[in-house]
Amino acid sequence: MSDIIKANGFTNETLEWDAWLDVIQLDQASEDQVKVLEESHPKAKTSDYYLFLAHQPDILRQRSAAFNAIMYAPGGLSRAERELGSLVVSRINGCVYCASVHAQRFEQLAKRNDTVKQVFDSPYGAGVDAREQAVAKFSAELTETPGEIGAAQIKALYDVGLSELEVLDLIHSVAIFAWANRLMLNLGEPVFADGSRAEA
Amino acid sequence: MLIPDHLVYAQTHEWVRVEEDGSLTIGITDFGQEQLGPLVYVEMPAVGRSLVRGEESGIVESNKTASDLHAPVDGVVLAVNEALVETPDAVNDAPYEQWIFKLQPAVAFSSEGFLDAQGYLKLVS
Repeated sequence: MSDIIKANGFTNETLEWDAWLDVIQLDQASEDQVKVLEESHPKAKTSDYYLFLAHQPDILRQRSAAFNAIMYAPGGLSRAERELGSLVVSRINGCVYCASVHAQRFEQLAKRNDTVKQVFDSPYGAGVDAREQAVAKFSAELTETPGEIGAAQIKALYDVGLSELEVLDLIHSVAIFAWANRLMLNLGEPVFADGSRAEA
Repeated sequence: MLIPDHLVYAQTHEWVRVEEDGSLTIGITDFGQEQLGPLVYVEMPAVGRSLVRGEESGIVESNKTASDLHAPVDGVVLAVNEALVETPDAVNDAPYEQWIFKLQPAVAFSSEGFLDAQGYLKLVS
């Protein structure tokens, strides 16, 4: 990771996440629960988030399939721009944990952190060029006023060079984080490595 | 951890195989794929692109982290393993069979600056 950025309660530092309710115990887990954890993430067996969602293995399985298809599908929107969309949503929804994860991933992919600092300060206007600014602005609008998205907002993306497929990928990336943020925000809390709570 | 003797290795965890026609086949090592975890995305360089030694030429990504691929030497990309677009985790199952890209080196390949299997084992142990 590059320099540590902190603004408005958000950070690009690595955070943990503690569930408020009981997580499953691996030694008491069903075969299917263990299987879905192994399918979901390399650290799922030690992550409160996955250990909690594994209470309903079918939902976790569908969640992981949808997440991977949306965020990693070949073609379409670049990986960095998908991460930017997710970062903006997480910043607006106040999901400190998701924002830290996707700030880090944006930095890894884009190899710079200037836009991360801008998003932490204010998602509107964030971005180093017209295309990035349009992606950030659209992600913010779709998060805050989803019922008001129309042709004008889509045209603003076309005007900076996004294709139909890229627009679709961006909408998916924003939409899945409307869900992911709510899970993270309502099932537990983000914490720093020293155990102190991280909050916006 | 598998480290075949017939390959040479970069410190950035790519393996390089020198083919009979002098072209190079490049992938990531068993250690590299283990560190990343199951791959969910592989970005490969465009065929025909000219690369310089050490240049970032692609990305391998898991749910855990992302890592750059590097060009081992100066050269032109001859081919990429298109199968990895749909099944990136095939690299985890067979890291030395699932090559990522092939390169025509600008000059005949020299192993100077690379590690042999023993040297790479020391690096990752």
